[in-house]
Amino acid sequence: MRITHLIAGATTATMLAACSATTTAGDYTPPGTPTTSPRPSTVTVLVHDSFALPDDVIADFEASSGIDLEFTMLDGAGTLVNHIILTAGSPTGDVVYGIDNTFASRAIEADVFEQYVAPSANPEDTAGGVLTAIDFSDVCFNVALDQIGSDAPQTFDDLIAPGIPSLVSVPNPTQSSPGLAFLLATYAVYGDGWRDYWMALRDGGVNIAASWSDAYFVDFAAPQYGGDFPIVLSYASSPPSEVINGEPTTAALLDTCFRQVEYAGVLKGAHNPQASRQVVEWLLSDEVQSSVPESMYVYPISDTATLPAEWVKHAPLAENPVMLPIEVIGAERERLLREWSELMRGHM
Amino acid sequence: MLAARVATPPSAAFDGSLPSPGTIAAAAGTSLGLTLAGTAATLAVGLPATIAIYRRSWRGSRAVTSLLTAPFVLPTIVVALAMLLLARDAAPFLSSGSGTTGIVAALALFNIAVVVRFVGPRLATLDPQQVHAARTLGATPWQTSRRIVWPFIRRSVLSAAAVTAVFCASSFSLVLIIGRGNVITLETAAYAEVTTFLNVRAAALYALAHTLLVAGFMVVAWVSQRGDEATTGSRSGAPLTAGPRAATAFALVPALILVAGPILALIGRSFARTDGKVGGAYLAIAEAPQAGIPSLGAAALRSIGLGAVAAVLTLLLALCVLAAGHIWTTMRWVRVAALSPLVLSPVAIGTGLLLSWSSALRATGGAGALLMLVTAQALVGLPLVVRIAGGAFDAIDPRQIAAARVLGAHGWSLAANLIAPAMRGAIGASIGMAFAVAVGEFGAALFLARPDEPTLTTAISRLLSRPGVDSFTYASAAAVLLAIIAGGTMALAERVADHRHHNVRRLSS
Repeated sequence: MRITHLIAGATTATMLAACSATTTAGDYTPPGTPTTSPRPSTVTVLVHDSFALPDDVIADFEASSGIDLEFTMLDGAGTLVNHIILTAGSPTGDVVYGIDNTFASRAIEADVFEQYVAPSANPEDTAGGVLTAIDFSDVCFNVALDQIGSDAPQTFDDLIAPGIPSLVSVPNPTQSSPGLAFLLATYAVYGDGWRDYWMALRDGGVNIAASWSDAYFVDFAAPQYGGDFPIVLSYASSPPSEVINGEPTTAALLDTCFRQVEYAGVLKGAHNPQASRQVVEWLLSDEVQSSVPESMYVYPISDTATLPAEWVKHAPLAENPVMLPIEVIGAERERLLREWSELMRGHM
Repeated sequence: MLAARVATPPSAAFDGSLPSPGTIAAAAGTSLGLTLAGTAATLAVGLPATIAIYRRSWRGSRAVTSLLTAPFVLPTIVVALAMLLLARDAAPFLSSGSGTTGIVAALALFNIAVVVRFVGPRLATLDPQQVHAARTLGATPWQTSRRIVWPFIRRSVLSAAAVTAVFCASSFSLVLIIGRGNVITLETAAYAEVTTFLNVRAAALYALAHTLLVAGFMVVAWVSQRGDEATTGSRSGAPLTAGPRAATAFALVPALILVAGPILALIGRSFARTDGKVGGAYLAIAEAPQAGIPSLGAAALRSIGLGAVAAVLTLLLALCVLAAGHIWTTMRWVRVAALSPLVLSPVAIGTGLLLSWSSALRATGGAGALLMLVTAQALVGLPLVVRIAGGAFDAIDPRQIAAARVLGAHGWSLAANLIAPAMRGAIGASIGMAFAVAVGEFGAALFLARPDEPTLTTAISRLLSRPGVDSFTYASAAAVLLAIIAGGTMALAERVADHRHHNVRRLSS
């Protein structure tokens, strides 16, 4: 599960900047210089801060392929995209993994990828001839079952019924990747009526949290968190983590889901393009695919991967999730976010 | 200025629309207001506590000092979450004004440490006999404070205020989380422009305005360094006065409430049941809590190791800065320059300031990353250490140095026999602070620590991105560990320094 928590320690960047000042003079390497890699067999993978894979899965690949993997984490999915765009031509890694469909268009338009998709990928699961889908998740509302049981709202319409919005907490779409997913979902479902929908939420007293963590750990009225809002925006994969003594305490509203897909791609200027392609292909292997649910709380894109038993039982996927083509998201995202900010100003 | 540093700008990132002057002014107003309110609140709560700790002698004062300074090292994400929990469960007034009350409280919570560490050591050198004499001659406590204590600590208070203001102006993640996106400062605006909209021009404009604002506070810091400091301090180590208990307690209460609230909220959370056991997060400290997250024990050891190296490095850098300023009087500006890591805002990350750095990082590989992580952490602590050690350095009577020179002491012998003993206490405080800051550092650790080898701070951020009550429990336990490690080290460093100081005093008397 990834959240764009836009949080960097308050003092952090200060010294990042200071460091950059000290290193530029001596160590700067002009773009495209081929000799900068210390080990030709090393592939650096840029990932977001929720990335995790089991050590043995990584070690197995390194042993069988002769490729050393290095991972560099960036603070959240949005930062990851900006980073590869701003370093275009002289990338700080070879492969990027974790760009999702809500931001992918920005990277594709900036032309930062090599033309490559994994040959084993289903063509539907690729984007722009440059990105290969690796995993996905459904962003859905979760309910606390002891607060709202059988009469829980089921659909997007139900959420703006009288008395309901004040029970709902949503992370801010301008700061959080699931928040953005929900904003896009309302646009996909209601078209230009998304503004009326949000006005109904706003006037009904919806709570806007800064990030997924705040909405979930602070606001959620599930018994283990003790918050004030029985309905929060999270993921379809969240309920298995809330099973207590074999009993689920939360459930995902599967008719309120937006599908988020995460992609990997090879960056232009990669030191070792051949090995980099091998890494993307490896991300689709059963070994990686079967480990992503428990490592990152996402569903594997591959049909042949095994799902954990808990997930089969408590984390069903949405049958008809809301989906939007990457190009549409790319064309509308900024306008929606700016208009949303105007609409909600002073009401959060 | 920021845009100019980006090597090969893709055009799309640089032709976004620019915000109107009114929008910028509104954000600047919010930044300024929060900074002033945060600084005022910090001084209002921190100064009485500092006086209670350093002007009175009582059992447990060291423990209280550690408690008051521990929040300084907590990652902002943790403090912000603790504040939100507190606002929800115990103190609803913290959410008033779109969360600005909570933001100001959090700013004060963070920066009490700055006041205690800047003003405290100075206050400790005030000769109690002077105060005593004034009281004997009939001065009221108010008159004594105004005529004797205030002139003596004025410069250190201004210095603490200036540094606090700079920290307040740059606390954008607190503003972001507690303000829930509704409080728009220059920093949050710049961050939104760059991360959400990739509008580097607009972000650069906001960042420039922010830099000007912080530079203004830096000028105050610089001015506060000059001018007369009452130098009637005593190093005789005369016993502190044992004042009325009620007054001491009264002075400490606001600070203790402010600090204890969020810390207790965290401790409470950290003891939630995991695997059916109360305190399970601590019992399982050597075990990996979840797939892909190594044990808290390992993360803590890694943080301690990196922090120790960074602290030594910070201290060496700080001493170089002080020595340079002392030996060549024209070099005094380096002391102000050492504060510059504070000027650049965290939004610099988003605007790509680290890009050239990351290319260099790539060329150096894993060992280079480790070296850079330590250097980065050392630089974060540098402004504080220069300030703390600088205060003690300046308090050395120049006549003493002149006398030693006449008697033939030069260079190393001067440093070893006169300067080092006089600065022991401050060096102890500095090294503890530098260590604490390095241990609590988050951004560079995220970027540079290997994903499979997180530090405590990066482990916290990863745990908080996963559902499940265990994630929250382990994250809270990691935050408590961080506070204990940092607070404990600061206390230990001071105790060791104090101890040596006493020995020296005994030998020389």
